[in-house]
Amino acid sequence: MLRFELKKIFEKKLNIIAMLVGYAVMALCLIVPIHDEAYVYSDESENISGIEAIKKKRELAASQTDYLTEEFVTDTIRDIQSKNIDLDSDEGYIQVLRPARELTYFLINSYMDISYVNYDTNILNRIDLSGGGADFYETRMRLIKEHLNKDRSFGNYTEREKEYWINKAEAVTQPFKWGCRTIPNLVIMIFGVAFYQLFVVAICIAPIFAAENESGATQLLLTTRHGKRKLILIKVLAAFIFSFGYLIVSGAVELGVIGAIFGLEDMRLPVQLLDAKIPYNLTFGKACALQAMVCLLIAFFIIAFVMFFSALTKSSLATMALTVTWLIAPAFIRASKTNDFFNHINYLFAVRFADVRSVLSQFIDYQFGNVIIDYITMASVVHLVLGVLLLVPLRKVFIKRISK
Amino acid sequence: MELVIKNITKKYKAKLAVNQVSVTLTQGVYGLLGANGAGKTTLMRMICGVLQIDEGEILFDGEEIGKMDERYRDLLGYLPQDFGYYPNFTVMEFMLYIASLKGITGAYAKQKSKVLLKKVGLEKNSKTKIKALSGGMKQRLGIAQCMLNDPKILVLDEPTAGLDPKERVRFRNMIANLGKDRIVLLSTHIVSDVEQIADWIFIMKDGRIVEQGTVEHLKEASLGDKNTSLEKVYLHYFGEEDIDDATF
Repeated sequence: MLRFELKKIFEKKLNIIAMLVGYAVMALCLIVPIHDEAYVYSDESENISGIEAIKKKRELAASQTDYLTEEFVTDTIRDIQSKNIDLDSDEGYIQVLRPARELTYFLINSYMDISYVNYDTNILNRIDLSGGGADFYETRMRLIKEHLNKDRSFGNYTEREKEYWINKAEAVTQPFKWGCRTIPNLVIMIFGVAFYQLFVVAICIAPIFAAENESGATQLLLTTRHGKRKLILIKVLAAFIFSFGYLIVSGAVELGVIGAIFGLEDMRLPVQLLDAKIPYNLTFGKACALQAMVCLLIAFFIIAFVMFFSALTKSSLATMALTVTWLIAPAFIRASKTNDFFNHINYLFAVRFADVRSVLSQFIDYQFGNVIIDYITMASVVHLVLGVLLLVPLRKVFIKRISK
Repeated sequence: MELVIKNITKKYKAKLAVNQVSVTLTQGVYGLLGANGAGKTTLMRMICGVLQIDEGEILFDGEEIGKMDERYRDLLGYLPQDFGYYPNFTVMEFMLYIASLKGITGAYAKQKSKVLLKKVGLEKNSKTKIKALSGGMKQRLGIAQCMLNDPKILVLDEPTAGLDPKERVRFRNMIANLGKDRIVLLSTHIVSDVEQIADWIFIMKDGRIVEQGTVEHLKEASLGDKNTSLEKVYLHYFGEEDIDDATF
């Protein structure tokens, strides 16, 4: 039975086209960022791009430092300040920022507020070094505490929540290991692509129950021994095998290609290289593994969602429309960095998990009495529970809709 | 072997699709004759357990079919109206799929499928896709899949609709043979299909069984003439005056 249910998915032309388009998008999302990587030699003698540029950037990062010690940061900022150039100007960009682009922009981001409005490149020129150092790690904690202690009209952190986040942020290994984050950036883009692959999944499995009704086959299926129980289970299994298979193969191929070209050693770098204020003590590798788990649970929910509405609406088109709306609509809802009820719901939508940096940068938590659950854990649990809640009544919904 | 249908009713909003139908079926071929919208398909779907019964009950050998669940479905073979699903499956793939749904797998399923396809004259088309089959061939495939589990109850909903005369004769012969050791219930609005093979005929109108009996009994009961045609009996119940007034 399973073989035939999978055949029904693969035999539809629309599904084949959707899968091919999905893989084409995946390829583009890999090729274009690699192609767009650029490196300019400091004497402007050469401007290289693509794989060569990435290799050059890694060499540069390796030559700068192994660890972002206070000493190294202080020396770097002192060197920048000594040039006495407006970093907002073209001269500032060419002479100061561009030659060590990853490092300079990382430092600028590190000294800016969590909820900054305007990007301020000259912040590095204003850092007070008179005390002897750039206070990089102290500034990091200060900015985190300022964010947590900020008085807002709603969404203020309780003392317990502040303690939770401060402890988490302080537990991050210091000094940060330094390196080129281009490869990790390519890897985390897989999750952005995975979000779009969910549309492919929705298109392919929307007919799983609805098509039986649309063709009239249900009346025959329901008269067979297994038509009212085992068939439903087999269809659910087929949907999960196909969907997870498709998503995992996509991700594995992308990861495999990146690993084959560049190697994956840089995945051992800390996620703080995306944003120094990220409170999770994770390497890129561990963060991606965690993100993969969350994304699979989100996919579990989306698959369950599609199957439920396929059984309920008896229409493949209606199911696809509902799923696409569920996936896309939240992207138009503004997401701020406050810990209020609105964001508690807003940040659980699948689209938020397309951006790994954003996921890791949020100080969103869910407090139940004395228990604090972080955003990533909550999202995992919610999607798992909702997925199960949609699967449990699936059989009854399918049969009831036919037999009424 | 006895299938008892007791006062079953099916209501769709204001309309009674099946209204207090009571019949008892034992071995043999039963024809269910009625115009479009008479309630034949609804009745058949309730017998097959596809539609919920609003009132009444259906018993097989004294046991309510809902409670029998899988055991009842093991006894059932159903050919729905407009059969022709999964157009991209080959004939053999479809047979094996339905066999697996009926709990028949492996080598036995393949062998049984081959035997049945040979019986219905489709053995040379086992690798043909269903969408490439003619209407008659699809109906023959429908009969073949019905028989996979050696059913004791065969429910055929308008099995000859859309078939040419030659195919219809072939079908009638197949069905006549099937009725020897099982209950065969066959619905149609084509009178000649049931006249020659049905042991007993139910005439259904507006959700009710308005008359039932052998062909001779129906002729006698409706028109008082044993020598009349069954078509005239049909028109007696479904409106001869409409035919006179019709324009083409």
